[in-house]
Amino acid sequence: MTDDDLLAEYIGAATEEERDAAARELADRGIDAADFDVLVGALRDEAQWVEPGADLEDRIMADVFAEADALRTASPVVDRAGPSPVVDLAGPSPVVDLAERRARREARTFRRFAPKVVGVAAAVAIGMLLGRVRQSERRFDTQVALAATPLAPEASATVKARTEAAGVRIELSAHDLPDPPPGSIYEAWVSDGTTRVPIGTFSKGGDVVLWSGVALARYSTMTVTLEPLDGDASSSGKVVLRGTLAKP
Amino acid sequence: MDTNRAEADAGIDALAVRFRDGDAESVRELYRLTGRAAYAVAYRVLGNKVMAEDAVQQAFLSAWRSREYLDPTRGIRLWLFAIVKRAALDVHRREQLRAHGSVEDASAHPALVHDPPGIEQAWEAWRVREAVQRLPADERELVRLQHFVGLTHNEIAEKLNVPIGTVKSRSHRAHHRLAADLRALKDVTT
Repeated sequence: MTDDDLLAEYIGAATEEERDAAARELADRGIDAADFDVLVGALRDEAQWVEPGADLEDRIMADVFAEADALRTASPVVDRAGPSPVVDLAGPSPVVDLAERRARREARTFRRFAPKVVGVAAAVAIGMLLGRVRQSERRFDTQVALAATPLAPEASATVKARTEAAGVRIELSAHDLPDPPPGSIYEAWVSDGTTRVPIGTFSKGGDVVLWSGVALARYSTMTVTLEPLDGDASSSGKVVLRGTLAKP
Repeated sequence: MDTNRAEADAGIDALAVRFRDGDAESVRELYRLTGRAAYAVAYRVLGNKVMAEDAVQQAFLSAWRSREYLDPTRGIRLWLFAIVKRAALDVHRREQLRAHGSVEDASAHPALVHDPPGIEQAWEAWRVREAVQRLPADERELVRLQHFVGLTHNEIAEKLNVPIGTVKSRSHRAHHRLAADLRALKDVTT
């Protein structure tokens, strides 16, 4: 009987007596059956037997294809603009009657005033947009500059955060932060000196938006660390950016 | 390592290269190979089917967006597992926030600053689920009835309407396969 045969008897034992007997034989071979109890215990966990919804695969693929489509169609706004309706109205016609004359007159009037109307509308829209931008700038309740550490001496970052209904929106703009090595990512943290709370991960420098489930007001520092993708949720301690949280 | 697992590992390594190179269809194949294990991890952390699905969906999209950082030589399972676990933690924190109504209240809540209880054995949950999924359907059902539902061999025979001898032989085969997989897992985790 092989070790796996014995272990199979231990895992699949129908009674305690059978399990004990298998454990004793495994012990004779220098194998501690108790080492496998956590794994065997997992078989009793509901997580091993629940099934995801049948549509989850399609939802994931829809996300992936939508992202691919978005990248393919990404182009300057001017390319997406359709032809002006003014041009369409000015088409030639071999037969000119009163109704058509009236239509053409209206079209000429439209052509004359449309640019002005569009200009005024654009100015109003830009004004509203600027107003919103200014308003949103004012709504940031935390701003902080993150400074480099010896692990990324050229890097720097600015962070703006504000509380929204969904949580704390954190806009981090990192400059000269090198891409993380393969198999690792960056993770942002806030800390009050005793407790460190992760607030999000990212895999490239530049502008990223993170969401925190905790208010920043009670924390004193923000750091960004380099984290290996090893399944360990704790911090690696490899701090690449660091800053002190302060209200503006 | 048994033949089935060796073949599965070779297959997923090739899949990892396609994933890293941006083949969108590889996401579907990756989901079919690992989706249930990912779901087991998310469910273990969150204890809720809808939230677990949400976390898995987020994790696969996040993995796809970060594919250029995947090193196929280091294995895609552990990489994806880490992303799934982080996604599940993000959903956990988001739900805690929602439950507490306000950020200020939530920030003082221990559930937001400590990991949820299921997180400790998350990797074991992933690998055990993979081992379970590799079983033929009839053996998998038997293992479920024995370990999760808690039926005896006689009760299983009655429920499945098969002779007790069939249950015993099927149980032996199933647990032999599991033993080989779990032994490999134990070697990896210790």
